[in-house]
Amino acid sequence: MSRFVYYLLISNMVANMIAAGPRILFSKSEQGAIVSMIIALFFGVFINWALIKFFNAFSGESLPEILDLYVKRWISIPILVVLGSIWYIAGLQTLITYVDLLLRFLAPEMSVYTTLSMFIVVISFGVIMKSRSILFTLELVFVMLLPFAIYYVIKLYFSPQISWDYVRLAMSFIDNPPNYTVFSTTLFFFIGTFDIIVFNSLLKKKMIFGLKEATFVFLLGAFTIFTTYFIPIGVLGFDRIKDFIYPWIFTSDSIRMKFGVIERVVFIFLLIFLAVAFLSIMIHWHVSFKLFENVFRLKKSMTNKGKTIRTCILLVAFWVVAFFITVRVTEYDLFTYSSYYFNLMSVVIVGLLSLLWMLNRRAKS
Amino acid sequence: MRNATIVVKVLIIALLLGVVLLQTGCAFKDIDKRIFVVAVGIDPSDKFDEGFKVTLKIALPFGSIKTSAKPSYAYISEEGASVGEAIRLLETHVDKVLELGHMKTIVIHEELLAEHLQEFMDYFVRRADIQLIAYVAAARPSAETILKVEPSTEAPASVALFNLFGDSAIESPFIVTTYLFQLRRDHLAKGINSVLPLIETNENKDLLIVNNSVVISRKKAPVILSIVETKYYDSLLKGSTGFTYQVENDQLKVLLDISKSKMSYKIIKSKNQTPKTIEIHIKMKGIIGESNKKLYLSKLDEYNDMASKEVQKKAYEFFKRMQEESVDPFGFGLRYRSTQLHRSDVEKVWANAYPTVEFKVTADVNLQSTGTTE
Repeated sequence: MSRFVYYLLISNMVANMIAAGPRILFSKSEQGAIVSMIIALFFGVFINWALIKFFNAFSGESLPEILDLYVKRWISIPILVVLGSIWYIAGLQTLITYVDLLLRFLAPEMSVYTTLSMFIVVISFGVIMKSRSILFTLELVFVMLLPFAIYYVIKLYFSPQISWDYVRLAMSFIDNPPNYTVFSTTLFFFIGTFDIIVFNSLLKKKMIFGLKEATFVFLLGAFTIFTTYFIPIGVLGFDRIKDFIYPWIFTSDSIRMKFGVIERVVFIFLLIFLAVAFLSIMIHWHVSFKLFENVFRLKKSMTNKGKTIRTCILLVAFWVVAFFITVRVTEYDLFTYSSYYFNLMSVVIVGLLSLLWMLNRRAKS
Repeated sequence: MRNATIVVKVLIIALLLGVVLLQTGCAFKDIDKRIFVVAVGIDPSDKFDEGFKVTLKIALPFGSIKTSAKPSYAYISEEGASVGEAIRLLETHVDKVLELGHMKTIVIHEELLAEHLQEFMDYFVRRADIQLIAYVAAARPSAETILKVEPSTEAPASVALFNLFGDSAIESPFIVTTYLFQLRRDHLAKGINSVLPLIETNENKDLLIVNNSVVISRKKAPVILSIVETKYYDSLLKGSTGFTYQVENDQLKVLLDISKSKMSYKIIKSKNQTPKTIEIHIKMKGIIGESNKKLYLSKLDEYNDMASKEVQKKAYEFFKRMQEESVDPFGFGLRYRSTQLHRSDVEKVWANAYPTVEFKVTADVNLQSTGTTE
């Protein structure tokens, strides 16, 4: 696999660690969370394998291009619209969470409109960037932040305040029957790779997904899921973990650097994750933008002016929806709709994989 | 055509720059408009039946550390039906914004630990700006008295109530440190009781004395741990160390300086999964710091034996007393819950079994030297 695919995967995993995901996992902590997470881990590796395998036949082509070649336009338009909205919501969900976090922790006196506009302006710039530049941005941010992130994770695991008895207690619920919502929420950690439906046009080299890659994705997923689920339990306890809205913020607020530059680790944590969240939103919206661009394509060749107008209209639509929803949504809505969204997402992923499988067969025949 | 685009561009830039003028300035209130709360004290209220009296210790700003000989504080208190309400009223007593983000010690009156704890601690956890790594401590005779103590050793820009805890200045096995998040975690969990340090003061009110602690439970009155018990709690559970282990037999009296201590335990269950015995193994490593007689390096093993027996005895007494008081500061119940697959009656089984559970304590003290002389 190309290294950029790993970046896509990891950025999605990290951004989801603090968004709505953990709370959904904890809400089912006594109703089969662990078994579902283990199943989702294996299924997550499987969908990654399937995706890379199916895209192997079309190296250097994005999904809209493939659809153009093998499918009629009236079939491809609804497919692109559905996928476009799914990716848009993925970004929006992260956006809402982070605006919420910023307002609560970093700038409590700022108006929601100002915070949101700051986000949206920067992200819009990212959305209309070239796909290639997005990938390079991704790499740059990773190189800069990785040392801090590693330091932070080590700090977490070796923190004397973690009580491993609570972790063991959480594990004692392993024999409960699995739960679908937890399964799909966990599966969402693995869909970062699916961004290649657009970025594949830049990945000209044939990608291999062998045992080595599978093991790596498996270990990465297992580590992320373990950290996401068990570390907050070790720090915040098991019996009332469901009460926390953002368990990860509270977890990092409970970690102390005795002689650090600042004692409250939560601010370092927020900054690292804010950068990754920016990336994640940008990538999701970029993918969504590219998909929608292919929906609204009147003729094969459009004039430059037409393209500019289309970009502007799409961007304004993105903004309007984001503003409208972010200002209205309460935290309760956010978690309810997020769980609906995750449930839908895993169905869409399976649908997308079967579509790719069919396209693959068409391409071969 | 080209001129037109340039004109449009210039207009857009001018417009954007014009927008800057509409901004009212910083949304953030400057530091001179804020005042920093150092510690919060909570006492029972006289006016309200179920209310609280909240006292704030506020650090007063000074020009430079060199010019001020002593730190200066202001104290304000107010009573209210809830902690939040009292703090809201206190906001009207000062001319600046009360900043609680740097508040690091919450001091609670001893009597309040029994029943109301959950009710008023809620306020501190729910507010996002209050640190979860704030220290929580119990106070005797009252939180207000403790907050108003200004120890003579306190230097400007270093708050005594911060230095006492968290091992940032003094590290002593007599001082228990409990963070806000730990208190919440252990207080709400089944199978463990949280322990808070107890702050006292002397008659002149110029010293802060912390060497006792309190075990709190949701069901019963708090249990005060003595100095020795506090030390054992701290060194067994948290691995605290120091010059504090007095060991004696008929002729010899030595003081151990323990540099490493560790406790591991196993819960032995009978056939129907009920807990029967708790096997506790204590491992300590250190040197001899003081003795009333001449010591011999060759006799280190003898001293080891003597120290092990003493530690074993003291620890056993401590466990036994906790059992009699039916509190569980070590979290044996939590461990029991976590060593088996979850059943709905597991907490009941433990609650029934704990009063009769046996303790088997083995201690292994490993002394490495007799200090600098024999």
